[in-house]
Amino acid sequence: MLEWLKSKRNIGRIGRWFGWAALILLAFTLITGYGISQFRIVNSLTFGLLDKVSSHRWHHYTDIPLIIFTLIHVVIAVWGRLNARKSARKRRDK
Amino acid sequence: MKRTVIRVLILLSAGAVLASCCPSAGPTELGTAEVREYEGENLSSINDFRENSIRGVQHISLDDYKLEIVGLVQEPLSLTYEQVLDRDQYSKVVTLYCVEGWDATILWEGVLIEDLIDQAGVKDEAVTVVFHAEDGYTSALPLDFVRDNGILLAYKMNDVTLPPERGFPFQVVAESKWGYKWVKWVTKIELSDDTDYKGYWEELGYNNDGGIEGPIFEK
Repeated sequence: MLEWLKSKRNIGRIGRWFGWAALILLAFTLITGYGISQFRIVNSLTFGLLDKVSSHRWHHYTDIPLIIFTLIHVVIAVWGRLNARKSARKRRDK
Repeated sequence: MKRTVIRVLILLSAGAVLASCCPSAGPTELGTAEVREYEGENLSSINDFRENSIRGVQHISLDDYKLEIVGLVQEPLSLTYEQVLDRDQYSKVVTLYCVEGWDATILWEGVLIEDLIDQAGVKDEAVTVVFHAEDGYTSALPLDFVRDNGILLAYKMNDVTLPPERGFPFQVVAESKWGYKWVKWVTKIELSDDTDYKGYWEELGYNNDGGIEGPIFEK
């Protein structure tokens, strides 16, 4: 597992996974947010699956994971970019 | 392909955020008739509320309106709008806190619910006051809470008669409780011995106590 994590490509892959997860969570957070304030519309669009209270509960559960996933995605992306820049500079210096 | 999907998702998210910022078709503006300051305290506007009722705005005609007081009472009552108002009237500034995250501080004017139910004669077994609305919405408050806190049945807010959007003819001013306890368009007050009566949102999971200091959700 640790060996697998040593590969920059694999770390980049993890960053992308977290990015996708954050994007899905963002969409879900938006839907549940609307499920609180526009509950009549969301309730009918989701065939009764999301009412005001369940939307409210899910909205509470999603905000912290969304922040964590986004942070991980951003940190890995920035780290990857900095590494790529460093490698390019090294190649140029050679 | 992936980029297209991402672009579509970003556009959808941006659209949703923009849509939430745009003014929606809310209640009719009431102009300058309302009071916006009371004893040095700034008041919110009647238009600061969001429409979040279960079946949309109810339009009640006073011609056939009756407020029923039923359940565990000596003598069930059926009062007209004028008969409800024909008793001591009170006003106080109370803030409504909605579970959606917004709040509004309003000067409420109304009659004591205690006076209404005492006119009907509350039986000893009664412990809960259940409020029924025109649209089928219900919520309840403990009888002791209603008595001890002088809970009002309001007919005016900021010195303006409640508009239909705000619950005409009557709204419960359940101070220190979440907004879902503030029943609008009240048509019936029922005295009950059910200590655990759950109203519309409480049945779906919001806290039955409804205190703003307590948790929002029932466990």
